[in-house]
Amino acid sequence: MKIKEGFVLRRVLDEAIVIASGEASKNFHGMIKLNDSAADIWTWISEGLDESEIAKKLSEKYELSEEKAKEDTESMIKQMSDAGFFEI
Amino acid sequence: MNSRKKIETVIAEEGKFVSTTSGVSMKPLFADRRDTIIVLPPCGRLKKYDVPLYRRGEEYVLHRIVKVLPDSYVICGDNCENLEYGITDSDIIGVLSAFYRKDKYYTVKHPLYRLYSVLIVKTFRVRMLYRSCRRKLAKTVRKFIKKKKAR
Repeated sequence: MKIKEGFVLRRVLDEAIVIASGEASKNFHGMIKLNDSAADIWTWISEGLDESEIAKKLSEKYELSEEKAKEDTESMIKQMSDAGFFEI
Repeated sequence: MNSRKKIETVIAEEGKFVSTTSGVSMKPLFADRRDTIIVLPPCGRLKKYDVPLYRRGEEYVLHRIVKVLPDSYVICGDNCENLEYGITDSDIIGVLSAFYRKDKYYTVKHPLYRLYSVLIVKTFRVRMLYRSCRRKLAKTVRKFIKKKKAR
């Protein structure tokens, strides 16, 4: 699981926003706002963590049950995958 | 059909516009498709050194104010040679408030950026003179090489 080259997370006025840079910006012109937990998941994926490690970190940081953290992680990863942010 | 939202609409809805730079007119500050700009709606009249985002026909331009006139602005890209006249407040959509250069975040209040802004405007004539000399020298060298090859 690797984020496609060119998609970057930027912190802007207390908001986390994903935009495209480099070649990716030729086809992707939008900005995607992420909430805090989604931004954390994005960052951990960028750092190379796998799904179970991310769920564990999410559970610790936001004091969620393991089940809820796993659910949220899966959901976020699915949304990112559907949006085409991952390298195949 | 073009489904892209106009930048004006994004700023009106979101209160800001975040995007990747495109083009070379603001080099050396911004490189093509490398840096991130954060543009906010303008608050009143802009000042010298501000970097407004405005419309020129169908395209959007992000260049620097080099002179404030009573009813308009004189604007120039940091890497441009031609001054643009007649840009009024009604043409301006937003103003640069912060940016990521490579991956480092700066606001327009950052002392290094402020120093850069002043220097890039104050050295405009010198830079243009240098470019002109460099072009003339290159032309002379090309002519000389051509002549030598012809012999």
